[in-house]
Amino acid sequence: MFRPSVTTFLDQMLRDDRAVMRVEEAVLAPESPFCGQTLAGSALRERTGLVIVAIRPAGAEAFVFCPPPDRPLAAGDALIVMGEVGQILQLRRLVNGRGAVAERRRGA
Amino acid sequence: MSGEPGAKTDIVTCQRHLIVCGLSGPAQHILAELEQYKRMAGDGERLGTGVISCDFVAIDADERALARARKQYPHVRTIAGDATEDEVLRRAGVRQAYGIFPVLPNKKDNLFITFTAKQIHPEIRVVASTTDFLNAGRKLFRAGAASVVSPSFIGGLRLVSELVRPHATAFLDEMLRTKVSDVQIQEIRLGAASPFRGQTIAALALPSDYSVLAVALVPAASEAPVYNPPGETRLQSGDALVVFGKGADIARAQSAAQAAGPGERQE
Repeated sequence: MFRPSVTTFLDQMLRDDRAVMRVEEAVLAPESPFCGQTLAGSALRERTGLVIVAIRPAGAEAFVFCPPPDRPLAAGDALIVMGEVGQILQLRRLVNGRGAVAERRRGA
Repeated sequence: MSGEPGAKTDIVTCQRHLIVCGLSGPAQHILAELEQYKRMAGDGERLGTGVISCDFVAIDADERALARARKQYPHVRTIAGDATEDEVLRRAGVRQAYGIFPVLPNKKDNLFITFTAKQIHPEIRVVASTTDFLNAGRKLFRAGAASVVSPSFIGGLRLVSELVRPHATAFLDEMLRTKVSDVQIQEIRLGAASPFRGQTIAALALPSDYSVLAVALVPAASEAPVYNPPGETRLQSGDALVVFGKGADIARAQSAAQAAGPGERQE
């Protein structure tokens, strides 16, 4: 009630029948090839079409909202994303080590 | 007729306020949340789209419980009485209230309050709680409730969420709460002279230059938002970008989207 623009947008987004939008998370596995890369370098945004709205580093309480493109990724980072279920599943495959390799092979 | 805020008053004269029926269970959490809104709001500031006042009233038959509530929530106004009685609801200002929470433990009471409140004030927004969503919930809607919440149902979903997606759950909480970080979702509308016109979303470099993310685009030609718009999308006047970020960062991006005034052209 207090933050109508936030609530309204989230409500609309979560209820939109055309697009099944979700706010979800994926945690970077230690063996993920993205550890040590920057957010821009990982190209996770382009690969999945997801918006990465925040990062919560391993063990941290606080979120880094709107992480900048030069933000380095580290093992245990929880990526908070907005997108469709299929995109989120793709992200999960990408950030756990093996999936990323498979994805690359397919792309190569 | 005592003037001090939070003092016990027998007749509430607020306008567009919120009424909480009962003091136990979810009522405690509602009062804590409303107290926080009231404390954070500036003078005369309103909730929602500006139509809800931050004033709130609790109704309960137990005078001692009301006294405890006033100590705990200094801004609450209290009415002693049975919330299922017309006269008590009237004293709580139901006729000019914005909304009411029938959240008593007894589902029949909540049904009765919903029905009575809507009868006295058909425009009032009723959000009721029930333990029996299927049966009592349907009746509450029939009686005029705008929304019905089952705390145990919500609690169950929440327990699952905390287990399987703890970070996303905490993130959404933080976005909807008032106290913590000032992250918001706002629109950036492109006027006919906006320097953003004709540019691609990627070229605006919103994440690096403004710490702001574009989460949706509402094209001028349609009402339906495009979520996570691709970076190569070219913007036109009349488009609205829905962005996520801190209030101050969004404000900077919004002013950059306005046409530069004559004095600030050379930047």
